[in-house]
Amino acid sequence: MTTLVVGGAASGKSEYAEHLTEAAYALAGRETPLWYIATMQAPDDESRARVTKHRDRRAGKGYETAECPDVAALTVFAERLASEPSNLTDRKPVILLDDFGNLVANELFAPERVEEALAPMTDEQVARRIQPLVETLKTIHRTAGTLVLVSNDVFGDGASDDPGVDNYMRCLAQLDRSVAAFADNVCDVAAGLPDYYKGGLT
Amino acid sequence: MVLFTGSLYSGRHEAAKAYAEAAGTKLSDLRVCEDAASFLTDDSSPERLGQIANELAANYDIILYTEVGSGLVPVDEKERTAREAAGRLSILLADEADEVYRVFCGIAKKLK
Repeated sequence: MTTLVVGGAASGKSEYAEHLTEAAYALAGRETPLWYIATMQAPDDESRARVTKHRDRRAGKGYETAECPDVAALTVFAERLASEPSNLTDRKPVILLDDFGNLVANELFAPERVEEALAPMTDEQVARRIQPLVETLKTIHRTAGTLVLVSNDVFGDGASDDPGVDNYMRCLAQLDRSVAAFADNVCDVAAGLPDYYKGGLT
Repeated sequence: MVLFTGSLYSGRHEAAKAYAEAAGTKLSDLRVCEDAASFLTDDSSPERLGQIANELAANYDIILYTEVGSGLVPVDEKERTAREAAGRLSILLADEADEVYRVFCGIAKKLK
């Protein structure tokens, strides 16, 4: 069962996603692996403070953390997960990934490929950049018992004249739509509450 | 007329395409307005907005609207007025529409 949880900044999307993850883990009798896929690179004090806040909230709940700031690390994780014996039993892992906004930023603005990301990109370029992430997430979707994915609604302002910003929005939207197509549930979170566009959970 | 509202890149065009196909037709056979806000002019008086909404509703089967009201209030006065006019126009279009869908991550949800 895969759920895509989308929300604006400070909408409560992470808390709601954690609630879904922890409910699934409890339902499985806390006997499955419980993974938190962290995506944030923390080069400065502000991002380190955010990481600490999220880490404190998860403390003591049984999560194992996998640091996957980019598609390469995420693919290694996905392959490792797919080869683990728990997949052969009914103790399939419960996994939370937070969030797509970081994954796309790290992928798009990776120093070695940043040049392409700063000039207007074609639809094909956008699709090509995002496809490996979609494939890897599909692998995790097939392996996990419960998968909760968090994404960021950054589209409320409308268009941007800055090609880098526009590319980022298009890539993130492409990832959202691709994942929403195979996810069982898709919701928009506001004020900590979910509004389901597909499926439905409480 | 059927209105598809949603954020930028939310997949409204694809949703409209699926809607047309489900109705046994093709989007290319329908009169489609890809961006309602492109019909706005410098005159954003209620009368003018009402007139634009009427004309669009009469001339198109499918209208796509890009939601732009959920960001910060723009510093630039022109942008502020344009954003306000776009939102008001969407309300008038929804009022005239037979059906209204909100598209989110490529998924259309019926609002009206």
